[in-house]
Amino acid sequence: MSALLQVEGLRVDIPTPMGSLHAVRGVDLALEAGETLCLVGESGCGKSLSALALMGLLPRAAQRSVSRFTFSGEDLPAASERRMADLRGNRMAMIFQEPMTSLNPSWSIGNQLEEGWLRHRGGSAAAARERALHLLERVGITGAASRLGQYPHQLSGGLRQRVMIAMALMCEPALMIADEPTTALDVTVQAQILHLLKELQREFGMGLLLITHDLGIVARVADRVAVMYAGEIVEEGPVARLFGRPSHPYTRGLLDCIPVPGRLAPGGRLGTIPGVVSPPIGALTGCQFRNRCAFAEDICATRAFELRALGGGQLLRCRLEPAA
Amino acid sequence: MTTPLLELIDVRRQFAVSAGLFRGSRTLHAVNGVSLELRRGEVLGLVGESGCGKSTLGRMLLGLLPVSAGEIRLEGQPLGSTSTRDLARRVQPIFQDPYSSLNPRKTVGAIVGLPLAVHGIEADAEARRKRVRETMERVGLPARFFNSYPNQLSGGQRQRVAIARALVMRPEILICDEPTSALDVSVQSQILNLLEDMRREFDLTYLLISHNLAVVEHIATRVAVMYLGRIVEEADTADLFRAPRHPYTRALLASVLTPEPGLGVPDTHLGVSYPNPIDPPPGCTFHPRCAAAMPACRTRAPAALADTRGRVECHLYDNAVS
Repeated sequence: MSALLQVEGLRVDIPTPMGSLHAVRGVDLALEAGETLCLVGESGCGKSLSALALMGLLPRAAQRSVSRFTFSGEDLPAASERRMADLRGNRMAMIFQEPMTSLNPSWSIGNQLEEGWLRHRGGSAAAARERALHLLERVGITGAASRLGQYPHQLSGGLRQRVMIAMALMCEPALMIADEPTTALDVTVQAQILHLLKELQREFGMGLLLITHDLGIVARVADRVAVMYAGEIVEEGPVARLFGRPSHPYTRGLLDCIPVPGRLAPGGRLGTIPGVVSPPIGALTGCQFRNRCAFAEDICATRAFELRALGGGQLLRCRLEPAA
Repeated sequence: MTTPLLELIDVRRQFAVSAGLFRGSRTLHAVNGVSLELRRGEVLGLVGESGCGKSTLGRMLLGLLPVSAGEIRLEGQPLGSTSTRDLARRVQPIFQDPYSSLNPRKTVGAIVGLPLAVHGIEADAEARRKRVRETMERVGLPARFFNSYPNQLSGGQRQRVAIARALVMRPEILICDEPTSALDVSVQSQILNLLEDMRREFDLTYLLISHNLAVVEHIATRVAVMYLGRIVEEADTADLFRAPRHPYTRALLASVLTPEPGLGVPDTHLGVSYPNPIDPPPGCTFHPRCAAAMPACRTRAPAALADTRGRVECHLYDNAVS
């Protein structure tokens, strides 16, 4: 079976006064229908730009290059803007972090939901409205009919995010990209939204590419995880394996940083990752994590390491031997 | 029993909210009768969803917002009888967003030193600079940032500036309102460790307002759970996390996504969304979302039941009802 999404060598470069910022540096991604892949990393690691690059929504200044990009068996590296516009919101859809800013404040909920359907499927306005109503109900919005005429400012954050999900689902996409879909929400609403996403994924068989910085979400939602640092995937693997035997010093550092109820004795200290991310600008050599890594040696400054297979589907970009 | 450092007695705060053109205004009870104690040396975590009134409560403790009714006492003295100046020397804030809580036109040195200037402490400029540098060093800010502007710093460094500014006055209490929720996880752990170090070093007492229960569990010694302007449960951290009593606390704890693969996403059964605080439900305000609601919950507000474990406001624990 061929993958729903297959990407090789994805690069995004952004010109800056200090030189070219290599925001995404050769990322390979593969996603099957019905599978959830989580891209995890901290701000500036290139996870959001990777997603925007796939959707063809990069800012104008950013340059994308990709050696292979197939979606549902179709080759897309050279796809025209017109072809991408046909796919976007139709076969591939995206949910953004901020439901406050990514909905149009001057359009009613109903109009925003119907726009994509009418653009891609055509047909009557009544049919589009019916579809919109059906999906609002499906994402658990009560009184859906009265919501259609409302505007985003009349809804709470959780409701807005449900509207975003309903909008993304309008044309039954094969691929859903969700960029920090619950970061702006309360924990209780977060759990509800993620529960809903997983349920809808099972129902529609979508491939879900979920971008998050929250390892708790990753553990509960992902089938596979890719950890990004400074524009590269540094470790990847099935979720149980990656959390069971994290092997990259960055992955281990991240897992040690987060407070987990019951893990530390009162007054115990959380792990930290010293230093800050240095932005990948200009000519880069060696491992970009080396200046924050406790295990760095001279070779890490000169040699760039490839992702290597550790078995069990786990990939590691580090000279270190994996955790036992 | 010793006097608590801070004591809230049936504190209320209302806001007049416009109900729409020509409809006049309606009253929003943001804080609706909160009684709470902050004991010296403890870290009290205040948790709840957005809109529950936790930030309003924090602002009242800082003297930034007057109470509508009730009383706040600082070591037994009503807050109203303390001048804001004196209050600011003893109670200092750390806000959520280090991007908007620092003046972009002032240098780090000026930001951290401003409280000293305002309060006329260390009148000598050189002595003031020295104290600023010392405080910066304490919170892990290299002295070379003295003349830097906030936009030259990372989020974690900015939050360190905010902590230095709060500590430079040697206060007794820090009101930390979501101090790490704008930060990356690796930076969050640094700031949490720093807050813990500072508490030990300066004998501080914290009120930690947060929606992140994992952070609260890590750093707080006692937790108060707030829902629609009221404290619905209060207990020592270990007790609360081991055996939550209020159904709302249980739902909150169930929503915490710990990094344990295979557990999936919990279904919290909190079907109905957070109620509009202008139109709070009658009876127990939590009853429309409560899986354990009884007929009495729809009509009668539960009273606070205090025992050795803490306090809970729920009919389930009221023998007269259940």
